[in-house]
Amino acid sequence: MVELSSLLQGFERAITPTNLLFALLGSIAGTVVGVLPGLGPTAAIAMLLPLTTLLDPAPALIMMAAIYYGAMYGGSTTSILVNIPGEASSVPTALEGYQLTLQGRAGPALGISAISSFVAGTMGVIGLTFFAPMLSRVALAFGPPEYFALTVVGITLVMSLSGKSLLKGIVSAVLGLLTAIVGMDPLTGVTRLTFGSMELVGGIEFVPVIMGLFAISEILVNVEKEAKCILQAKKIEWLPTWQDIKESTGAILRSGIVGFLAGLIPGCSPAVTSFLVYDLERRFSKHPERFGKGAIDAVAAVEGCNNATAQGGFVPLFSFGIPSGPALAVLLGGFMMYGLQPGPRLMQEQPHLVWTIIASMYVGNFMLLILNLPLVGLWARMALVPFPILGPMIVVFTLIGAYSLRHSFFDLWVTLIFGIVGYFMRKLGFPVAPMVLAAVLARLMETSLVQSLTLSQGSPLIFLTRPISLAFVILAALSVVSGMWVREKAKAGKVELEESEA
Amino acid sequence: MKTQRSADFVAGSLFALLGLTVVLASRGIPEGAGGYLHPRTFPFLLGLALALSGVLVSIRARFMRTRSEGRIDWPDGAGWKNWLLALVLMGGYVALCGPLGFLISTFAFVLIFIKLFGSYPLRVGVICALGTSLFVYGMFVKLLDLTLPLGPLALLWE
Repeated sequence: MVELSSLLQGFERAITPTNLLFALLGSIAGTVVGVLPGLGPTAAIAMLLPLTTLLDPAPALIMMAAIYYGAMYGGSTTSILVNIPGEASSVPTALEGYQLTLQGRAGPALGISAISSFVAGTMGVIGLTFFAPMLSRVALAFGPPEYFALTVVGITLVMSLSGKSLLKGIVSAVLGLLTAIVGMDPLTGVTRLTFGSMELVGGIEFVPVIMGLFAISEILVNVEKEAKCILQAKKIEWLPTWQDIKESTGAILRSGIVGFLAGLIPGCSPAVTSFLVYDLERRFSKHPERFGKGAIDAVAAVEGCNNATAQGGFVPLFSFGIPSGPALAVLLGGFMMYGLQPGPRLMQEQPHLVWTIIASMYVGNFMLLILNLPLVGLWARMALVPFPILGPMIVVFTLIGAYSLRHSFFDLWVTLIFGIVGYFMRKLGFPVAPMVLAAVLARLMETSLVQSLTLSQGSPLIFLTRPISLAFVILAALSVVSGMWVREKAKAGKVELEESEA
Repeated sequence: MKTQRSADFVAGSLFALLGLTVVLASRGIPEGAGGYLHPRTFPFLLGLALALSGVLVSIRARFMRTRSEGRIDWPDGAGWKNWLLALVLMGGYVALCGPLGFLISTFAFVLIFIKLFGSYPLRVGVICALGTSLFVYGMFVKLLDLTLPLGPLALLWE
């Protein structure tokens, strides 16, 4: 129970007025920046890092950590309300949350998102508190073959994201992979599929692709219909009901565990885990037919998972100094700015600081809940703004978000082009989610494949001789077989239904 | 392309063509320094996969036999006009963000969009456009310190 007494001491320091103030400021700043499309946790910490240099290490690091998990929460708001997933991890939230908004249930979706973020985020911090030393070895067990096998598992999710036609889902996924490999080869530096364009040498960022596919195509759909308001329902609900909470409880708890465990693996970002959990929930759900039409348990699962993954990422960071993703890499920079090197020695040399930060995460998660629940009704009213006024604002914030990533006008054109692509994909029944997932996984997939083959001197058997990688390969095979079985079963059920109706 | 069947046939053919283009383009990718995977392998395989799945989509559409073919919900004439208008407007906004800066072009874009697609008095459009531009300035430029091009306004404030 060394952890418990250390944690209690951490709480003593975390709840001093100064530390509470900076946890609050970080949570607010993170949420605000997270709400803005394109500006995810990485950009939020990087932008606000200079502001923290005036502070002592403890409040500064508390604030940076709060910005990180605050931004993870904020990303759900625009996904649910206006179908703008500011980053890849919010795409499944947009798929389900926006459908709920159209049905007049933006309030329940936002409320569940806040509750789920709090519960699963807190589960993540509990995991970080009590299981970090035990689980930290997981981070080191992952080499290139394991990463490649993990991406293969990810790609099998196309089965569940494809909707009615698996073939169309495959086309969409291949398009996503192709989009991501345009530009410079990550290992050899050779340019690929640039067709002589200098702009394409830098590659196509997936955030403008996502924002085009979702936000811009949504604008085009509303414009053609001369929509007066994005809201289609006459009845509006402002808060989640007990039934909603009851239906989402299992999803929240599962997503907390899966998200935290996935967060332990460096490189396994919330973008990947949110899709994994989305697929998992579809398989566990008592109402899988609701998925794609506004499943509130899916919103709960994805948002919970995002936050738990964010917390899980602190395990390899504190234990080995390995950042799980770009946002934690910037946070690592913040530590180093104060002459602190996260890793085994940090726990020995600065235990008070580490435990204060961990304790502040409990407080910060609670603050986020208290801050965001009362705002749910206010945010949900955004869906009532007439489309001719809301529409141009969505375009402006989407395009500025796309520009802010690389300060490139080329990215604005990419957003528009993928808006048109997204529009036609919707009309023709090609699902966009597999494209996003594939675009997210492509680089990791190719890089880890090349590194694995180098390790094995060209032998693909390396994926079958390492236990974790073999387990992932088996999991991928099982996922495909079970997916096909469920699909066939659903098809047979539909035929039976059609025949009985005829 | 009114029915799902004809739309799938055309879309599948286009994807097959795109896949073939990628296959051909990937042949020109030079070899990198070492490694067990040529830099062209991945794009080549993906191009091939796209071409094949595109062909399959077309074939399935050609021989698809369903009770109801399903019609695509394309917009009518006025809908297409609005669609094109919105696209031109967004393209114009992107094109003008560089020379005019984000604030002026945001103001113009929001104002024109509201006037074209809504039936509000001019003052409503002006208030919304001004509010959005000021929010962009306050939030992105001042608070978050983003380097957004400001066009002629940059000279004014210097």
